[in-house]
Amino acid sequence: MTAPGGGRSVLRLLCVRAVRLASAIALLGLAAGCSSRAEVPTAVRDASIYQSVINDLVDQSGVDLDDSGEMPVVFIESFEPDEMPLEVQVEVIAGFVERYEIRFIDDRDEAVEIDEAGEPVRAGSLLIGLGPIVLDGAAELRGELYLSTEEVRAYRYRLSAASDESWSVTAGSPEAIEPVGFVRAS
Amino acid sequence: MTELEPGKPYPADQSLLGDTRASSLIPVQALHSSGEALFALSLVGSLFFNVSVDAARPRILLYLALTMAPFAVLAPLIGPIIDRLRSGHRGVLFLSLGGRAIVALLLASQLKTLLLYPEAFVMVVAAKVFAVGRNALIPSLVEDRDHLVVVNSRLARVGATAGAVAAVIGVAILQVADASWVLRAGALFYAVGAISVLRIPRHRVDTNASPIVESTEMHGPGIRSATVGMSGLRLATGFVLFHVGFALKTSGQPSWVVVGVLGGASLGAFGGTFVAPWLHQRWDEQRVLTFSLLLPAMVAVVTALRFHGSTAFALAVALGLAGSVGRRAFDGVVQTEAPHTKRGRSYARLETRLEVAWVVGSLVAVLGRFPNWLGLAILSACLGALGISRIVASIEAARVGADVGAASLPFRLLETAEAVAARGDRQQAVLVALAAAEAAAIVGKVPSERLGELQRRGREAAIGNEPSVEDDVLRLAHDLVAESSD
Repeated sequence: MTAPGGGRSVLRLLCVRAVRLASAIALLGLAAGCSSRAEVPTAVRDASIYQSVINDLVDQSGVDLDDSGEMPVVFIESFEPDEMPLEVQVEVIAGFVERYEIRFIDDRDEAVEIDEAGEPVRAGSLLIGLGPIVLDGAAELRGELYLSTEEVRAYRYRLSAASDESWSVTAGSPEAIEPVGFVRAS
Repeated sequence: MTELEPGKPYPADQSLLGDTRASSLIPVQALHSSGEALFALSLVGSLFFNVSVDAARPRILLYLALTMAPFAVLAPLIGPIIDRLRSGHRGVLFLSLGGRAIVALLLASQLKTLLLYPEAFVMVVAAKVFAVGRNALIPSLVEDRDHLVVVNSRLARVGATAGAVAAVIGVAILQVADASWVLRAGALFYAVGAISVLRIPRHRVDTNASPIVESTEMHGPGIRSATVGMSGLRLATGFVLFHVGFALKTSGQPSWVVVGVLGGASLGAFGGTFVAPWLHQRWDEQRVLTFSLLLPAMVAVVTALRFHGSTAFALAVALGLAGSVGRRAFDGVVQTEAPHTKRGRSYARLETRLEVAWVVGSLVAVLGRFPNWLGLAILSACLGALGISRIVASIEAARVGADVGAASLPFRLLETAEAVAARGDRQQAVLVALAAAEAAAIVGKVPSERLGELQRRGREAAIGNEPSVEDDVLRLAHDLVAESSD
């Protein structure tokens, strides 16, 4: 049964709840937005550094990624003690969106055929490991390349900045080093 | 109201057109399901499969938590809007479908950006609002209440078929274009769906519906038990979507396997619409619902022991089938035990509980970070425990029923009268109290003059609507029933 004035009370209830909802979402959205906004400039810088290293490692690999006819996949494993921030991952993915499908992995099994001899990378692709960035004016980091248990390479990279969004590998870099991140596989 | 009996087919299974007013929901359901299938397919080409699960987890958690907010705030309003405004239900469905069309268009160009998360969140919320609005609306559109189960079932079948056809269209689009175009096609389906909502007939507001009767019916033990069972199934669906989705990603399964597993859930749901009538011929609704909990529990054990694309597919099929069969049984329980419930708000409240259970299941999967086998083992144990507890409860109820027999009927009627009086409908309470006294007279010794006096006072209470007379009748009935058992 419809009580007299029921329509008005529903409207009032609707308004009160809508205001509460808007406030709750605004607060949560603000909290989410603030945390990401502070990380944006750093994310762009870090992504630019990683993109340069990935480009170089793909070139070093000698793997013809365009051979398959489909969008080639490049698997990325972070060697950072903490997870690589989502904002950085998204920037890196966006940087290669026309050329490769970048996949950040949680577990090495995601990229490697563990049941096959030599544990090669899935779909004839390659797995790249990226170490933490050390900044001292220039940027330095370790990049590793995994094709199979028999083929693991590691390099130390130095990069210089033309701008925050443009970093390039310096002359004389990279320097070949012993693999650390993919040492289990090698 | 004909009670559904085991062994008899659902009545309108034999009719092709069924309920004409509810038939206007068929294109809406078909277009919505098509949009859903294309939306799900487009996510395979989204950021979800590029970023690491651990990095994405906090953001997914945040937006899943946000998904709860609109339900806590808006859900209680959907029912009243449907009840009080003649076009309220069309408004709810139009806004949810239209909103999804707009957000899908926006999302099409943001699949590889961080805006994916908030926009996908809006899509999920709108889908849940659509589900609550549609399921709250159906009972008011169904001409013959015996057809409620059938109409729901037919809509599920139409939705599954349309979704499968749309998925084929989506795969064809992926051959010539990218995921963003799949989503744009989905937006088109949503938009046409929003327009087709306008064809749904105007809602008839039932002014005779008694809120107290509805509330009493909807809080009955059968519906309560069925709601817990169905919530368990919805919780499992939310859990499996995220837990198995993450597990497939981290075990390196290609995207098409994920699509296949999602398709498995739809396949199971479609199959469920055929399996449900067959099961109904053998068991009652509550037993079918128990089966729906135990089936995925058993398949989850196999998937936990050997996680693979094929076992994940089997689990998705089992859960889709269980969800579909369970939903039909749940509708059957509501149809049988709440025959006078017509108001949208009663259904909206029930549906909201089910949708919140889905979100809770998703949150547990994302927050729990369980290893593959452990998550599935927990799922299996929980579903199994819920199923077994239902079996134990039904055995106990049958035993108590046999022990108590007819002698307790007056007391049970008296309890009902007191419960109805406590809810405020004193006139109805008086009539139930009179029935309790008459039952006492049948099974025990009650002086006929005292019963006659009670009936006279009862007539006065029914006509006069005088609180003091109503109190007298309830007290007299109580004394009479108590004395009859001595």
